[in-house]
Amino acid sequence: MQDKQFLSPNDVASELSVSASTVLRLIHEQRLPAIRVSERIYRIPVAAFEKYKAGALESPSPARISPEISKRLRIGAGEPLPEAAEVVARVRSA
Amino acid sequence: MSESLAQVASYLGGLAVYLRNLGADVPEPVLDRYDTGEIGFAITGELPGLDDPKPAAITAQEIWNPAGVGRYERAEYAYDLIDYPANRRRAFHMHDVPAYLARLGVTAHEHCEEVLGKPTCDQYLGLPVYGGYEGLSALLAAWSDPGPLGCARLRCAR
Repeated sequence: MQDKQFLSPNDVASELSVSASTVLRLIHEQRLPAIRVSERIYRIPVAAFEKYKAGALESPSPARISPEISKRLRIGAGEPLPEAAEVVARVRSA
Repeated sequence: MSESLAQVASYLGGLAVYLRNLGADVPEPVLDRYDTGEIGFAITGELPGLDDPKPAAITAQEIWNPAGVGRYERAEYAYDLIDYPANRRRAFHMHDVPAYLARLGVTAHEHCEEVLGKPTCDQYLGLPVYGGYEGLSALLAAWSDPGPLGCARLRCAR
């Protein structure tokens, strides 16, 4: 397992000595983190499986809300707009 | 769909934990308040596994506009995967919406580079991504798949 980056549900089932359907149930119940590649294919990062085995998975908690007011994030900065769109953007910002 | 400030903070915290539980190294997220009255965030996670020349990086950026008293709506986003070990990039973006609508007739676009830094098309036409979980999970699926990203199947926005 050490040279692998991802495990299949069957790999995890073998590691845990449970059935593949049990692993899929853990995934569907969001108790085992997994990447859904398609409707039937899941990959479990080895790092995620190690966290699961160690009982180190985190529970969601709200992010901190900044007490400061800051300048707006510019999404897409440095990305070239389509040629004509650059004109529209300039007109709107004028 | 509008959300309160606290709901957006919970959503952001959830995105960070989603990535962390998959093994990503993600700093503590902060929901920023902007001088425009909007709110937003940018989080980046280093993905586990191969790290040569450096680990793959996944990023989520969002801007939420005010939508009534104490409510906000997601207005812009960028979800990016730069997979340095695999030397490729995939991204889903929605920003500069009026400009993109006027020129291309779409609000969202995508980036796809089978070879990092050598796109065959600067922007591909895209469909809006419903939320951060959808965007990040699509990028993670690409990251976990050793095959080509499939850029050739996308429609170039020329």
